[in-house]
Amino acid sequence: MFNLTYKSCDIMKKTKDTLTSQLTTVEKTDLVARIATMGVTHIAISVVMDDNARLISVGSTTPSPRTVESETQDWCSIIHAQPNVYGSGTYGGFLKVIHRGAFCGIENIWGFPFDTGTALGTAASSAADGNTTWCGRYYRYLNNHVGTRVATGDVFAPIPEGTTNAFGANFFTNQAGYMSLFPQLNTITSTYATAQNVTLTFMSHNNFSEAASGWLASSLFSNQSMVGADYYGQRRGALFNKPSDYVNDWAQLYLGKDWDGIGNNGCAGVNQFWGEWGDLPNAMSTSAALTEENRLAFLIQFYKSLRDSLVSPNGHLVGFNNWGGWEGQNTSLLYKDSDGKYQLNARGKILQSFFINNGGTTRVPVVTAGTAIDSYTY
Amino acid sequence: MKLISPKEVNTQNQIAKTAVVEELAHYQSLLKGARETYEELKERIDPIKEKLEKDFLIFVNMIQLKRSKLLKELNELENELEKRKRILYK
Repeated sequence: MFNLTYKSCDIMKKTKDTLTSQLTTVEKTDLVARIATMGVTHIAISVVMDDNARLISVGSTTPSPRTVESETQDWCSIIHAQPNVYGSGTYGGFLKVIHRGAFCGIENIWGFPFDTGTALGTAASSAADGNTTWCGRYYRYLNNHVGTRVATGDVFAPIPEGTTNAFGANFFTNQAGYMSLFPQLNTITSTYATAQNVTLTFMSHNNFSEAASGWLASSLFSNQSMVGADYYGQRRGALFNKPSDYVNDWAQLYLGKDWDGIGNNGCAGVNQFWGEWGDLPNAMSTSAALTEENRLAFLIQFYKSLRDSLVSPNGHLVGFNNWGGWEGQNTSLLYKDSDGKYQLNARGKILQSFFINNGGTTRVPVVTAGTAIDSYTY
Repeated sequence: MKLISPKEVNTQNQIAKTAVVEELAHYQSLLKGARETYEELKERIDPIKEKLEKDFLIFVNMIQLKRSKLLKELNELENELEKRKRILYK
């Protein structure tokens, strides 16, 4: 039994990075349809959560050709209309959305300066707060951006890697504020779900280091019944990025420990969601980056390790989101063929065999085509 | 060979015993002092140790976050470079 409840592919580069040069609906539909063949249950989008009017007034950024609200809705509609490969027994037979939206002022993107002065607000005040609080802005994202384009099974994981600036002057809140904000966002999501008559999941995708070190307290995770973390390995040090290192770090996390079995963090006994991973050169063993075949061999072993040691019932990992749902990069799962259509590359096919067949690819495939780093395939 | 009377033995034992007891008392007093110093130092050091451990963890986290962000940015730049190379050598 292979209980990976959330099988996901992230399309950040096609949603957040393309705000001013959005894909056409035809391109989106083609991308989503191709990703569906990988056996995903969810697609993670990262359209920014700020209002269109604020993008223009604060960031001097004009989303194009749609407003940011329309762009969010377009992605949701296309993803929800795409059948999954499993049929009606899995999420009603259709793909679901993971919302990993960022606020520009937290990430210092799209012309927004770091925003460290906005009040947190509360769930109770969020509807009336407008853009004056973070809770108000999140309320607006749910109700004005996503609106009715929501479906049972969707996941909301706002402000991913929100602790990135936690130890500098640009952090949007402080430790206590971070801890208190997410339960409020969870409540806002719950109220919204009731109003829309759907069942949703809420979680925060934190940086792994703050979960493992205990900087984040258990109340954050118990509120969500999930430990969500983005992780590219190396908690123990730069050379510790073998599949067995990843397994060790996540397994220790479930015990409430850091990688060395020491510590007392807030993650003990809580199911885990791997919010982001891609085969960045530094996220793999040094030897894996030598040739394309070495890299594929690493991926095969990596997914097998997840299956055998982390995914339920052998572990407590219930969700995995691969950061590579685009073309043209060394972490890409897809490439564009001569007709401009998306196709799975070798990396995408290996992920496909992990998601669909559960057992994963059994041996390193012979690469038969492709000339660029994103187009190697077999 | 000189014989020692039982009385003399008792006296010598008594003297030795008294010396041991005195020595013991001396060491007990030293031990007590050491314990008090240890407790006093522990009280002062523990919060510092705790703070240093916490600061160290935060420092490690800070480095890891910055490293992770920089590696992602570096990878983006390498991808961009690769892309431009492809266009250039086409």
